[in-house]
Amino acid sequence: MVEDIANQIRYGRRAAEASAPRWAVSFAIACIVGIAYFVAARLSLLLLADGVAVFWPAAGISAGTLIALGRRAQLPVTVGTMAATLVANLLGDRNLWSTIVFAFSNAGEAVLTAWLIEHFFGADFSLGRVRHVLALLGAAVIGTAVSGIGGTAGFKLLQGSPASIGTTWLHWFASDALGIVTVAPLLIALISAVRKPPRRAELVEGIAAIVVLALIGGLVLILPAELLTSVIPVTLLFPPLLWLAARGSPAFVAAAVFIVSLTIVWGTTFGIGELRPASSVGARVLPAQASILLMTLGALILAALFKQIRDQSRAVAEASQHKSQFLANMSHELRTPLNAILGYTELILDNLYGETPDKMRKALDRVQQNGRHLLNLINDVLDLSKIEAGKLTLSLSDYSLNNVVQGVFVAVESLAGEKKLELKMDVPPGLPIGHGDERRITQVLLNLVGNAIKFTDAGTVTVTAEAAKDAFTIAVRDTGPGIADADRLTIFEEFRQGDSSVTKKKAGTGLGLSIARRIVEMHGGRLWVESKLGEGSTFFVTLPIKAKVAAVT
Amino acid sequence: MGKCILVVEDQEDNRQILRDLLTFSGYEIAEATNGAEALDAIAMRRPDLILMDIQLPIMDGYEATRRIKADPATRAIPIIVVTSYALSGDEAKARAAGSDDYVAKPYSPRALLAKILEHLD
Repeated sequence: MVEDIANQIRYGRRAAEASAPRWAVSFAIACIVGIAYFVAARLSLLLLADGVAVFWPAAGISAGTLIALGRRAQLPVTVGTMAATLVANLLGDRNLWSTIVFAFSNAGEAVLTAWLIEHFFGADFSLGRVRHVLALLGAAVIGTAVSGIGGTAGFKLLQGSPASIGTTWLHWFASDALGIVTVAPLLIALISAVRKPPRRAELVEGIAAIVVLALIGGLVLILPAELLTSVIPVTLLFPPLLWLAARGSPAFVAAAVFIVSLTIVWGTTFGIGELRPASSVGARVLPAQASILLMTLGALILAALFKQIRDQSRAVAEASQHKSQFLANMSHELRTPLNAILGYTELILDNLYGETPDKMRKALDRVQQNGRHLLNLINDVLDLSKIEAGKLTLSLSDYSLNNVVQGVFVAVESLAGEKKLELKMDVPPGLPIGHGDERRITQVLLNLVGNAIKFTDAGTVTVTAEAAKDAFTIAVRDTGPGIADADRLTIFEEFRQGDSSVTKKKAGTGLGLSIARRIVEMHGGRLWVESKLGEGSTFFVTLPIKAKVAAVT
Repeated sequence: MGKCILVVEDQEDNRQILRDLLTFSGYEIAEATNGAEALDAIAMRRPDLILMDIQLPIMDGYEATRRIKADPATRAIPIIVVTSYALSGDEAKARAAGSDDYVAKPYSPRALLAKILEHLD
């Protein structure tokens, strides 16, 4: 039976599949709500301040259960609430007829409040949304304002209460509304926590903060007044409350709100510490209610705001992950047809299908060049997406920087020749053997030298390399247009190049530098640029000669 | 009789390139479009070298390579794995599966031929 109720709570609508019959589950809900309502009501009646309850938590039990379990719990919650009201009042000194009116008022209040929320927000009420928290306040205000009319009628007409109609209605309305606002979130959050248990770390942190809150609350109420006002003010409750609101799940925030409310109610009722101004108990009730309302709303709204922000940033991170995966898949798919294009081109250029005429050869050269360019672009996009997804790993081995620079020289020689640029390599022979990802280091230098050639229209591109104690320093110097101060940092960002008018003339994804910098950083080195407009640029790379285990970016 | 090279590749266009390249260079070729077919083809006729693509339907190149290298009868056949640049760690995985060499896709037919010659001598 207990399991079926747990299932009903845990799986919501699937309760019909539970092994216990539906009526048994409903009966159990009615009993639980009834008993909880009865206990809360009796305790509240003990805590009357000058005949007035500061808040009526029982109202929150019915409304909260109904909001959390949805419409199918309507009958059991109504029955439980009415039965509890009847018993609780008849045990007191109330007469039967007023008790019946109170029973209908109490049950109707919960049904109306829950109906308003379901009507305007559907079944998925969440304390994690600011709009929903405000809606709970609105629904509670309307529900209790209406039930207050019934309650007032009961007190005035059937009970012969001496208080004025306005005062009676106000007390009913205020204490019930406060009861719903402070207690319903606790039930809603608890039931949703059963459905989706919080993570362990969250649980530990939440429980710790709750314990701290309960301790402070206890001290506020137990310590002698003189000590209290000077040592432990009520405001000491706020730091842990705010901490929970900022970090905790709604269940803990709701529990915290309840503890603080209880502390205020207790202190107000028995006139303890700061909650004991010179005025009478009756005069303290309204300020206490106002404090509870503001504290509760503040904490719940703050918690919802923080939760929304947390959810948003998680969604953004997931979207970025999907994007990286998409780029990785896409660039793989693009590469497959490119293999055929480049492959056939090479075979034709190699005269595999007969002697290729010179005219056709020139055209095919262009096909090949463009194909390779396209491949480089695809590789850039893929590299970046791998870096972003944290999937780019270095495969470390020994390499000769002399060989790497030589290889780069050979690869770009013709490019520099076409633009009639002088290409100089100033690398002393016999640099120490390095340890790193040779392919990636080559990629970095190719990118830097390639850029230098691309953006320089006349003059020289010089590559120098030297070894200090434990690091290589490589410099790529050009006599190009230079880079404006404002662009010096942004050129390392993804999809950015300097002056966009230049960019249009020089093809490229603008990813190369960003990738190069990440690769250098993964080796434990640095990549930066020194430049002045009109005086050329120098890109510097420092690279540990022996790179350690690849750092994860 | 020319040496026989088994081409395991699921893409028709890429098979055609290899067909043209290898027959032009005087090799005989056998073809398979996935790892399972490759094992059948080897059982029918033992090739002198295998070009193995990695991303294949039914049985991928790693698994096929592992099985060929696990069988004493076929262990000696050199396998050149065609890795995809897209997935880092492919080279290490290919080596772990027991391949003798690898080329990254897209490959230059000229460079591929040089590799093949290296392993057939």
